[in-house]
Amino acid sequence: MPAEDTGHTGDAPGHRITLLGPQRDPVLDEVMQSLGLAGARVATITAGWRDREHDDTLLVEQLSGHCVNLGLWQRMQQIWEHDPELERADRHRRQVLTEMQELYVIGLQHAVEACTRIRAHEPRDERVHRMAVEDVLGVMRGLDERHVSRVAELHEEFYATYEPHHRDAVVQGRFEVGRLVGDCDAVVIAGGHVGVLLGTLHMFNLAPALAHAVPDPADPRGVHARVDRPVVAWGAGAMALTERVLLFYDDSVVAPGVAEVLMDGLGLTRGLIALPSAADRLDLKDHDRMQTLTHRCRPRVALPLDHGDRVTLTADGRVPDGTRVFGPDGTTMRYAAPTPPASATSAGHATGASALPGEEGA
Amino acid sequence: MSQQTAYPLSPRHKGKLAINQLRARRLDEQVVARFLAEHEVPVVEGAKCTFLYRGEADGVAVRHRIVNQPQHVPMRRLDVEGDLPLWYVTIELPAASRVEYQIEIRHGEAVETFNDPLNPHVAHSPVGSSSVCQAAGYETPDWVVPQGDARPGELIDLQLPSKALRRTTHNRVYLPARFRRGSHYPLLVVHDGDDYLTYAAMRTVLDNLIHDLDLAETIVVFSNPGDRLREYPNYAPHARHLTTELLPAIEEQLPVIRRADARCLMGASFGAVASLSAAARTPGVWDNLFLQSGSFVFTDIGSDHGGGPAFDPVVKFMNRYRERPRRIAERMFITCGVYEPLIVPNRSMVPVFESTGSRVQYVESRDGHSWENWRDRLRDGLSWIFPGPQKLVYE
Repeated sequence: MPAEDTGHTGDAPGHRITLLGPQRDPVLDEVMQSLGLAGARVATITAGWRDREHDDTLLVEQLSGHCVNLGLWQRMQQIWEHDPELERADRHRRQVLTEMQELYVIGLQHAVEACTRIRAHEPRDERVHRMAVEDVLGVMRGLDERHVSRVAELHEEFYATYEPHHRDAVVQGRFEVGRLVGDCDAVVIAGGHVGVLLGTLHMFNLAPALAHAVPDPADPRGVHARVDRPVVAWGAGAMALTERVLLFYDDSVVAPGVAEVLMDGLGLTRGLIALPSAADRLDLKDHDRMQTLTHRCRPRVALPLDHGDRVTLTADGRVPDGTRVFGPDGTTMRYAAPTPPASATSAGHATGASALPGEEGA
Repeated sequence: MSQQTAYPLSPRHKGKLAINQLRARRLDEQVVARFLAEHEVPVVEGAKCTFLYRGEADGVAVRHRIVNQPQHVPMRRLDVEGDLPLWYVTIELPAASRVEYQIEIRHGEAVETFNDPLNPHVAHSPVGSSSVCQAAGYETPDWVVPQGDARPGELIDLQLPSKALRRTTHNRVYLPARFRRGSHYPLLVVHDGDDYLTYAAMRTVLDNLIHDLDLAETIVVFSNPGDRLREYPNYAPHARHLTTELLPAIEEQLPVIRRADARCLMGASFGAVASLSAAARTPGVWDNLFLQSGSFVFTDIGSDHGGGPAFDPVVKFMNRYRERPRRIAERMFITCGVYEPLIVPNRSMVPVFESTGSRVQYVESRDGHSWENWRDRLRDGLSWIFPGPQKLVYE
């Protein structure tokens, strides 16, 4: 294993997740070298590129040819071919998800409009005005939470009803993918369509292939994930690794877009929401919008991943001190991990408390 | 929901207008020829647009098509030594306007109207072409011209015998680049299809919007009318053709999503009426409408609408609908130019449609009843009707 173990915890090697800015002008080769992964055999995931999944010449060059593309999108198509019942069920699930997303966004848009109007109100009493803003932000957070839990219920229902993990094509695919990952020293996950990417990662059960659970009494789940080998990701790949995927694009054509939660990610990171190409996709000068966004991310840190950014997370998947993040006022600041209080709760569960970014335990 | 258009401010023009500088000089053939060679006509300086005409006449005027404004604007004559006179008039136009106009000349009692020979910009509409003045701030959108990296879709002819219309219909079907039979696509049916392709650059627009992820990969049927003035204004056989002949044929041949919310009817002017009335006649089939400058003429009192016999069935349909509004489509995207007479009925219908529970997005522009106006609104409308995966793709 050529991977450089930079964060040992006891006897276990502390492999890390490294999140990058967009790779349109790729620097992956330099990153791999600096991580001690030059010459390492790398499993690549480009399922977010869909039918162009294997147009990965540049990626192969960046990795000096020492890589194998897991071909998850292509494998998914093969599963659909072999198992039409599962394909129909999954198509239906996606239709329902799309409708749920549409209706959730309608609710969000009205809340955003209310928030804008309340903020524009000339306050006669500052306290009343502040409470009204907090209330409507609370409504948005409530919508986010309910939406993400309903999406999770839908996924659970699908997996319980159709049991993909017991179907031959899926079992075979998972076995092959797991073996390929097991033979590699590191994993690279590229950007692309985050919904497609997440769908394939779940279908091939990549989370346990990439990480194992470590007991963690401070975490409400009692465990947290530790990656088994270095993982480098950007764009949709970075988003998919996190606990929660937030879609955002302020420069939408018809009306100012509203950020929307898509679903839970693989949960291999803790306490962060990845915002790839934030400078391009968000109206950073609109402080009200940015404040709303960071408020909705709480207690997680809103982590911009812009051109040139490179963030290697701590061994337990957190944002390291000094990282550029969006602060509570919507502007960028340097992250400082809070000192957890005695009654700490973990990231991954919005507490509704007025926690600063990173104050997951507040 | 109406969307307030964010217009740019007109840039301030400092100093004398070019025409006033010219007037201060002794005019001869060379001076005027040089002036015309050095300036695009109309001469746009800040909000001021100077229209010019060169030729002998008893009177010359600009005849523009801005509703609720005096449309006949006389020009002033400047004599040119030993040559034809130069006529001019300066009109103030709001920023980002596109105004259609023609030049009218009078010799005695004889009046002739034609496109401005000094202006190469021409706008096309269902009733012919006219010159167009692009005021300060107007820019042709970059997504209406071919982009090098946008992969082109395919356009194939589809002829379909129609019992309903008692003729063979001629359609063109757009398949997006990277079309795959294994995928399922939304379906957009466009009235006056060949005109949208020819005058609104719609094939290029589709290529670009899909490439930019603003528009979902969509199968588009460009349909064409036979007798347009008969088939488009609320004609039952037309609605029957769309829903019971064209749609089944498309569904049989191509992988379109077989749901009303994945279908859209679209059209401009009478084509918008055809879309609206066809959807109204076949409820639950077409859940999206994209209506541009709809000829939604109605009367509040009596039946005298002043639009001529072609509008009779339209007025009958609209009046009846206004008496008992009902939801025709789940989502409606409506656009109209503020300079066209149809701005009044279009504005009036928005709250009526909204009152039925439809989600309505309404966009105005400082433009007229022309294909270029409809072209320039395509991105807004198409990306709202069938949004692309922009929000889901993170490179």
